[in-house]
Amino acid sequence: MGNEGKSFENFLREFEPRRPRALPQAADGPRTRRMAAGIAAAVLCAGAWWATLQSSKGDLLPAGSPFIQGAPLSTLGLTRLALEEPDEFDAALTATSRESLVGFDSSNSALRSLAKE
Amino acid sequence: LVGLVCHINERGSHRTGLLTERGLSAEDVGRLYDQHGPALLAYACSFVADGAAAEDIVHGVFTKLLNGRPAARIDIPVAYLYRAVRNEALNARRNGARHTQLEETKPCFVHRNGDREAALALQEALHDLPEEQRAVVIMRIWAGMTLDEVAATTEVSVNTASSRYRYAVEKLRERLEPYQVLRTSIKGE
Repeated sequence: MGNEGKSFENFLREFEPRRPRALPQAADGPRTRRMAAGIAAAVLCAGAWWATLQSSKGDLLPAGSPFIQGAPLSTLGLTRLALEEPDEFDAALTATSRESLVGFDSSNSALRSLAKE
Repeated sequence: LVGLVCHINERGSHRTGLLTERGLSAEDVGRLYDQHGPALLAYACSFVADGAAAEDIVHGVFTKLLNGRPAARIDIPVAYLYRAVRNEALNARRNGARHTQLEETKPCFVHRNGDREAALALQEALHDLPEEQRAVVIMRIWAGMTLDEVAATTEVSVNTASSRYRYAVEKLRERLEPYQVLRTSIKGE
């Protein structure tokens, strides 16, 4: 290409193509979304596992269970106990009442005096 | 639980592997965009007159690449980009791309000294070139590629690329000579 050609090439280079708008950040891409979904799934699984653990604590009462020892039971635990082990349920209610109601077997108990009357 | 997270991550990296397997990371895509984005925009503008539509085409092609969804196998990334932009531009044109007047659209070229008329004349002249000549001249002048690189990208011999380039420059010169003469005379004053 001769001088004229070179000169025309330089003339063409005086024109600059417009720069297109910026690309979206790669960080906003699907990899990040997948990571977020993974974390969300992990949190959900952990939550579900913890909830199961909590409810199973009071589900059934084997001998020497925390409930018999006076530990409080969840409503779900009590319901299941009432349905599946009525005797245990009665025992549980008695134990609970002993723990929570006012006693009347002490010497100066008002209830004991009333009972005598 | 750990297994589940691992499975999700494994699937994710498998998909993005489309890029990594072919040696194109997000950084590579960004670099290609910086280096070839403007020339590809000029190339898209030679198919669709509307600068905004041309910009959408280029942006879309790169976004697909970033998301790991290239429509075809990528052996030579630059060749892929030109092919993809061409296909998308032809689709846009076929799907009723706006027939706007060139003067009304976003300009694709900007002249260093603000000669808008010459910039529009260049865009029109490029549009009127045969497709294969248009690609060669854009790659050579505005992407700064050597004739060897142009030949490899367009999958032709260096001789063919060279003659296409010569013809293209000659045709452009015929169309743009008045503007060049004007610029030379302004510089001379």
